[in-house]
Amino acid sequence: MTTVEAAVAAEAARPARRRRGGPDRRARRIGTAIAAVLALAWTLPIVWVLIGSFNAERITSGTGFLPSDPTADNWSKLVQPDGRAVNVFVAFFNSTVVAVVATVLALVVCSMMAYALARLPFRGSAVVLAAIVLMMLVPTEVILVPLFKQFAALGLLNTYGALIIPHVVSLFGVVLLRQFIANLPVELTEAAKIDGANAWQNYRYIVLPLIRPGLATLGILVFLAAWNDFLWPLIATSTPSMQTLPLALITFRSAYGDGEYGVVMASTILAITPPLLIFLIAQRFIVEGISNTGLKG
Amino acid sequence: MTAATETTAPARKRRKGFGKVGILFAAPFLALLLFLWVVPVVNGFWVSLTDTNMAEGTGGFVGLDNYANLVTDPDFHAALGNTALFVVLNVPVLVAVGLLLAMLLNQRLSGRGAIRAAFISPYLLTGAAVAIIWQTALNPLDGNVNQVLGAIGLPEQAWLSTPGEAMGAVVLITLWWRVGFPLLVLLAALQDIPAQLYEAAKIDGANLWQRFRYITLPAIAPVLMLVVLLRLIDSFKVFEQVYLVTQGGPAGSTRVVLQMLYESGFRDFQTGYASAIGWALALIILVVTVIQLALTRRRAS
Repeated sequence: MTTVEAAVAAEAARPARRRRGGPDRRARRIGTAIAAVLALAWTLPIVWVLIGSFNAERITSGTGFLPSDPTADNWSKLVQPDGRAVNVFVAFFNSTVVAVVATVLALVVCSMMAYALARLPFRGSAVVLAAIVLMMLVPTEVILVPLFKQFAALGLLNTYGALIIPHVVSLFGVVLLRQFIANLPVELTEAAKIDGANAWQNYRYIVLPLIRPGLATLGILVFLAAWNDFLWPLIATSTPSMQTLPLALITFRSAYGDGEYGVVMASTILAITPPLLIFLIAQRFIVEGISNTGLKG
Repeated sequence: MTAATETTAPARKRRKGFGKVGILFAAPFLALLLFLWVVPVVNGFWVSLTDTNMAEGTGGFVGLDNYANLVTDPDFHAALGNTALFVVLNVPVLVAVGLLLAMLLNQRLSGRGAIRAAFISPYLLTGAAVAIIWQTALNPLDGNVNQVLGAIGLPEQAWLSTPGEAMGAVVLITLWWRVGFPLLVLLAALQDIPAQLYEAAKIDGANLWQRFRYITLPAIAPVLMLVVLLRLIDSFKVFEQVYLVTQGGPAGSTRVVLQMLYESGFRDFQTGYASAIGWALALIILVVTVIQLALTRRRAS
């Protein structure tokens, strides 16, 4: 947290230190120009896809950067899939259900666990915390096969449950929220207790509202992870009607890839728009989340 | 660590008030943790000691046979070699470019927020979208990348179908996709360095390189080492961008360990062997982590 806070503070202090005119301003202009050109180049591949989705040519990008004959055909084909196996809107719906439910459940389950670890230690809670930190080192791929067998044994494969449940437990989330709660002044919860609040009321009405920034950060990270996940849905689903967007994109690529690339481009735009929108709205929390991930060790 | 010592003393007092209610708050998470982590980790290790085949039913205990087979399996050697090549190329490129961009963004720039957003935005995309974006752009016939190369007079390339170039393309795609992570973490570290240090060094006549070498680098060294470590761990687990862009080709030149795990476990149903591959990868990651931490510690002292 301190790094991010310091970064924010440094940002706030900057204009005061800025000097006017002379070589300083020129350096600033050159730096801005270099950074802006690089930044534009970085976003170019996404812009190409957007252009490609309006491209009438049967080839990938046409003869120039702009479509020679712009058309919305690709987008109308998305809406009317002509009896093809995959409907991208079904996948969009699946992705939305999975990501939203996983986010809500993860926030509830992880914040309750974090509250217990920070304020209501139980027998063995220190060991549990150490085990959680240790488990962060285990690559999830190691448990892929046994996890598949467990979900198969419970008959949960190819259901929303299989797609949602693995995202509910966030080891990083518990560590992050525990830190947030541990940093709250003890007097707050003490005062509430004297006023007769029980543990649940303390958690629900004192702690949760005070750790909103942490909840926002964790919520966005869980949402993105669930929305973007590829390998687990690939293993856990078996019918197109249960596919999430990343899988549907790949199915689309094989269905339309030879000749109708514009449709694939349009569905790609559909899949990447929600994460990019969330990013634009909540950039602060994503930046904090990623910076924190780096410092979790 | 400090937070833990801060909380234990008052927390112990409060225990009298709320009793053992803590375990109730922890119960949902602990139950899921058991189901999603503890049981699969134990179970996965057990399965890796058997010749279980999911298609044919159960298998018997074979001890360390799966691991012994891995040591001599040319497929595994090839996959491990490709993964190692990816790691060796990807980690330095990603961290170096991330650091350069972070230093650029740490300057006084106009519109810095928008520029930062541009570099981070690919980090938010699903690997499937990244694969489609780049397969299209790198299409040898009419992809945008070859058009750009042609326009500035460079030879066009069949990026994804040339064995030597496909891995290079995967590394560059990964750079584009993942650079937001080192960029953000290192930018936060750079912004912690007091500006007075640079001003004092300038007065003493230190040039750009000296300021980087003697102020920037020591200040961000711990974070830099952490970024390298996290990128190392992540790079060993490379899968999506390879599987979806090149399918491991051409001629198997980009087939990585996780693709082998996926194929033997979920295409050939050799569950026991696939579990052993997973544990072998985990062991390799563990060894590399320990070595990297030891090197970091030695440098620090």
